[in-house]
Amino acid sequence: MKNTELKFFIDTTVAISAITGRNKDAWILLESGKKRLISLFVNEYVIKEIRRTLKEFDFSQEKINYAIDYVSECCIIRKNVPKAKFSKYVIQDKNDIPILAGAVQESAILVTEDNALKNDAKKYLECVNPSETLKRLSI
Amino acid sequence: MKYLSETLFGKVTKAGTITIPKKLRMKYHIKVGDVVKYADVDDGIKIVPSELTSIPPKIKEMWDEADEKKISLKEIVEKVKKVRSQVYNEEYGT
Repeated sequence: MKNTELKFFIDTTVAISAITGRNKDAWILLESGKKRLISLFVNEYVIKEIRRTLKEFDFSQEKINYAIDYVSECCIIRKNVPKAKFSKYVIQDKNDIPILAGAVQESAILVTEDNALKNDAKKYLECVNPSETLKRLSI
Repeated sequence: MKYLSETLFGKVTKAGTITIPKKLRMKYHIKVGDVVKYADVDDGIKIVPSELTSIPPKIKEMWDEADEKKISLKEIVEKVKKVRSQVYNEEYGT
């Protein structure tokens, strides 16, 4: 069941929904990355957002650190894309560009829980939610 | 390991799906949404619960805490949007 030639870039929404158990498909996706059944990527921007979002939800620092370590075991962490490369992306929310650009740079499929980003990103790359990813992988 | 003494049967549907009998689901703690693994063995197909659905205790604690806080998927998307705006400004300026 190895699909390591397929690359997936994980949006912060997916990492958080997996870590908090809000979407079991997101969790299975993360675990598949940990077991190297598929290749998962994030960038430093996503890691910073995970840390900040979990803090916003009042999780303890110990749990946040554990969650970050866990995500780091499941995904390959890339450097952020420089702002100079953002101009070619025209989407509704400019704040999503670092995620979109990260996925494009990796030639990966973007996985997100955010429908607005999903629709916007389709101009530039394939973008799916966790359930669609599992269907595609026949997991 | 104590095995079930009775033989259980399942019917294959048009779509190729089968139902795992309740007794076996309970015995192997297989829940809705879990993933199972099929292995092609000498005399048939072996179905085993997948390790993909096992959860480390510390992560389970976070799931329970999220349950207590009633965190929803919608709330996660909204919260990330808010955080993303702050992080963008910090990393890239306005």
